[in-house]
Amino acid sequence: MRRIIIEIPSKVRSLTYNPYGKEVYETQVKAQMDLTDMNEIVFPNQVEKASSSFVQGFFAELIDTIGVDAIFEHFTICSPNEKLKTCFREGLV
Amino acid sequence: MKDINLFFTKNLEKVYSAKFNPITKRIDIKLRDKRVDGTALNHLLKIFSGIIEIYGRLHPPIFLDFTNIEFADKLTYITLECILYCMITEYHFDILINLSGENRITASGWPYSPLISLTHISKEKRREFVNNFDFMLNRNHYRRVIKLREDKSYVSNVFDDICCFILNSSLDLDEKCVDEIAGVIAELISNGIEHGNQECLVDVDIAGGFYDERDMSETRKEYLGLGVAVVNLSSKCIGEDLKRKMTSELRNNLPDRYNYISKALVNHSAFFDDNYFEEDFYNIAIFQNNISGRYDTSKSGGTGMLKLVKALSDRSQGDNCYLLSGKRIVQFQNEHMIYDDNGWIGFNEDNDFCQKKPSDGVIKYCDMFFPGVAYNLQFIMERGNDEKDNY
Repeated sequence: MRRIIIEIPSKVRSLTYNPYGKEVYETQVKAQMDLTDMNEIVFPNQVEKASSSFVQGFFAELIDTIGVDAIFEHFTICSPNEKLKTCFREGLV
Repeated sequence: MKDINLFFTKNLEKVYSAKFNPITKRIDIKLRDKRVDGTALNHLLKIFSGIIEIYGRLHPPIFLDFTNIEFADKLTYITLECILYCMITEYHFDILINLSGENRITASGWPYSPLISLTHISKEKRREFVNNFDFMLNRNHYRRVIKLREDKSYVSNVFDDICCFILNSSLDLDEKCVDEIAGVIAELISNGIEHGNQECLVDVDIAGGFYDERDMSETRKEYLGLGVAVVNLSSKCIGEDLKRKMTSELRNNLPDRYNYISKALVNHSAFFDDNYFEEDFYNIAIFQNNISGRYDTSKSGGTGMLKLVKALSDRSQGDNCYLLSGKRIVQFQNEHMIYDDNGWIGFNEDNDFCQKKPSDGVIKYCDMFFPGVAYNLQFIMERGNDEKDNY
């Protein structure tokens, strides 16, 4: 299991905006991830939810290259907020 | 607000009926009809264009007689604000407005809009209008012009603001509903900024104290109006980039799913007539799952916004939700906002995007050309009808 810690400004609790999702992926995930392993994306505790546009931006490159099913196989969201995990699941469907 | 002048550069017709009155020492404009809608705003734009041409150097004050009027919906008065903002900040006219009328639930919020600053003419009130155009906040009204910044996380700050606003408003909703409302607004803002790479105006108001006139009982229900307008000004209409990529060399690099769009277009072209244009087809095509309205080859492209609108519509006792871009409107009718198992939405009774055109009433026309894209979301909710009790 590869653990990728995401940094989000401390005052941000709700993530949105497709280009922001892309930026977070590009700057914090892409270089660290390993597609031969399970990657655990760890969001800060204060982040409670994410809009589908953020989720789509975050996984945009992976949607194009490996597809949604493979994303579920290789990535998991780690957060004390179940709502955030649900947002990521539903944002990809 | 950037590109505010597009209202005039995209609506070029002029009317020279408004003249300087030497007795009142101003130009007096009275609406022809009580109802202020797209047709009325279009006429007003033509009058203003004529005034700019004739009086653009003298800048006499303009008086708008909007006595006892009725706004068609929230987006109508928000658009009026934009037009007046342009007249004041770009063309340097002073505007005084006599504004009165019923605050109806279908167009609630205008008594608290920046327009009220223009009911008095002074430098301070003009400054107040300009400031309030950019930002207003109280318990039942949130308004902000979201400006472009390098730091992309700022849009998330707005999402947080809106969540907080809805939670603390007099709507008194459960958390799920708060998330749905804030979520749809966040989606509209995100899509709007992305679409035109420009600024975005969002205005949310909550108005209460509405009752069914026919119900005179002591236990009659109170209704709340939740009004949302999101405005993104741009020289592009919403479906343009999708059409461009479907008809350019980029077409060869698009995912297979776009083949279905091509097939649907062939079928729909048989339906095109005076009421249903190719432009309308692309305006509904952008809402299909995994079809992006951006000029790129991405496989991603959300259905999030419409699903949230449907969820809110299901909760409410009535709604009026639509998108306006250029002169074309897509009305979001609750019964036609269902995605099939493959992520296609037909906007018709058969929920068939490929073979059938949208149902009557989905595609509409606006006299005025709206530069960019704007959304009007109006929901009527019963106070105290907490969804928690219904689960």
